[in-house]
Amino acid sequence: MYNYNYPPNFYFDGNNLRNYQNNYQNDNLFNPYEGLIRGNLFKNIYDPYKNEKPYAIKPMNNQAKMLTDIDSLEFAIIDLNLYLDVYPDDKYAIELFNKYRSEQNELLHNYQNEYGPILLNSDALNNIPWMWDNKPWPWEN
Amino acid sequence: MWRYEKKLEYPININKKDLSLAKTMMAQYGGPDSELGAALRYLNQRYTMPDEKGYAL
Repeated sequence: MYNYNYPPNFYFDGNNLRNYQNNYQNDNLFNPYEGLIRGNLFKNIYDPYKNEKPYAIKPMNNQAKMLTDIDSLEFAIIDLNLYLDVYPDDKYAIELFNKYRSEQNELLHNYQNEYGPILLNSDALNNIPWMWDNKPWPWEN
Repeated sequence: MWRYEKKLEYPININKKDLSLAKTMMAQYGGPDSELGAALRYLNQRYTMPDEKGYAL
């Protein structure tokens, strides 16, 4: 009734699509940071606009650097999530997804202990006084 | 379904203030026919999606 195997054909030329699942295991993914600044984790479907170059993120301090690492992993997790929605049997992708997920959990834990809570389930909220409404807010420096 | 996360998806670092550009961007972001209105429509379309893939997006 529904086409559960729909591939997003418009992303690929025919050859890419056929070899997609096998190919991308062989070093065909960007690392999370490279993926974040490109908006795409998959090398074979990364298609920059004209001669556009990805813009490198230059963190101003250690806090910004830790946040950039967390953002990178979060991007990779979301992109693999979208991939796995289409290819749910890809063991390698699930392993990679879970590797990035546990790395991000660890980084989030370290960041929150040092700089205050990001999420309301953070252990940093054990402290007195209440830390949730402390600076900085996401849109501030 | 939603939670407040005290961080951005991508870092910002504003060096120069440009009020007229800010006004245009706020209109694109939250005004009539805005990204925000479109995003809300897409989010609400999930309830009538035909399959689990659609729900999960």
